[in-house]
Amino acid sequence: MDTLFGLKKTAFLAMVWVLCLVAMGRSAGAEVFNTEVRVILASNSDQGYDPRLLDLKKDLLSLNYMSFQLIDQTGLSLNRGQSGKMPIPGGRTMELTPTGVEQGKIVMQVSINEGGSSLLKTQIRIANHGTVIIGGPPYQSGFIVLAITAHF
Amino acid sequence: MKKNRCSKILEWIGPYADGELSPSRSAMIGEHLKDCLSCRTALERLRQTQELIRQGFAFSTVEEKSDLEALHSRVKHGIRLQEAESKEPWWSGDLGSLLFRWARILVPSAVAAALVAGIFFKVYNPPLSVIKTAGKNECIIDSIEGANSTVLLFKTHDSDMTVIWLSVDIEPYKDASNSWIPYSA
Repeated sequence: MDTLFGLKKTAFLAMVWVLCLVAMGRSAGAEVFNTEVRVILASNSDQGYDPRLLDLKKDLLSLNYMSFQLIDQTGLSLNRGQSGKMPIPGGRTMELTPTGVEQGKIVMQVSINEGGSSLLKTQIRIANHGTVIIGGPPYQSGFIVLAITAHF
Repeated sequence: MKKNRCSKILEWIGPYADGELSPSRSAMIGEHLKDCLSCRTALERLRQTQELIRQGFAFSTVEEKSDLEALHSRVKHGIRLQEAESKEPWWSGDLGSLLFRWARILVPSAVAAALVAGIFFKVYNPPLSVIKTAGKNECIIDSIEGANSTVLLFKTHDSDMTVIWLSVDIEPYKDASNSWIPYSA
């Protein structure tokens, strides 16, 4: 009887161990942060609203510009602590570094540089699949607006 | 294979308990019992039942011996008492065995399901624009630094989307005396 009980106990512990390994594997898999950056030109030209930006229409129109055109779209898959750089029109660069997840939100450092100087350096926490807008750098007859969406 | 062997052994377990088998068959059953817990348990129960029947007869009067019904109820009562005394922990009893048997099916199934789900979420990256819904755009700004720009923070009305706006085009301007005046709100 003791042998049988021992076998069952061992089997139960093995089950728990396997489930823990699966859970660890799942959480380790969550360490990749997928970020999508849409580069938008906001202006008062007569080009109208780009249909590719329909999901952001209400938000962008609240910025009080007449025209919003998608000029670039980049997807970055970054590991925790890994930085991804991308050029922004006007000779600028943006650097994104996801540093982890806190209370379900992605902690991300964002910096925008122009020449040798920093225009912006910020640390934000955005919801999973959430979007934040960074705008303002002038370009052509309007302003650059960056819509950053991230998920893990 | 073992089940078949046990069922054959159990056919002989009664005569074995009564010592009615040939020495060779008895030895064969004895060998099997050494390794088989379930057959040993069956033999033990049979012996306990036989003992109870013997006790039932021993304590019966001549009149009671004819009353088979009374004997039957006494034996049943004795079995119940014995079972209650030798009650095993739940995990070694029928419930434990049942759970253990189910666990052999459920655990691999659960592991397989977890692996499939893991692979699904790893491979399937749905389009962001489909998933994004209002209320998911809450953003917390831990720190912000704009070296050569004025930074405005606000939220959009409809979906509370956070906007960080850099006023990099705002430059100091000159007053009437042609001196630079820093921009101020």
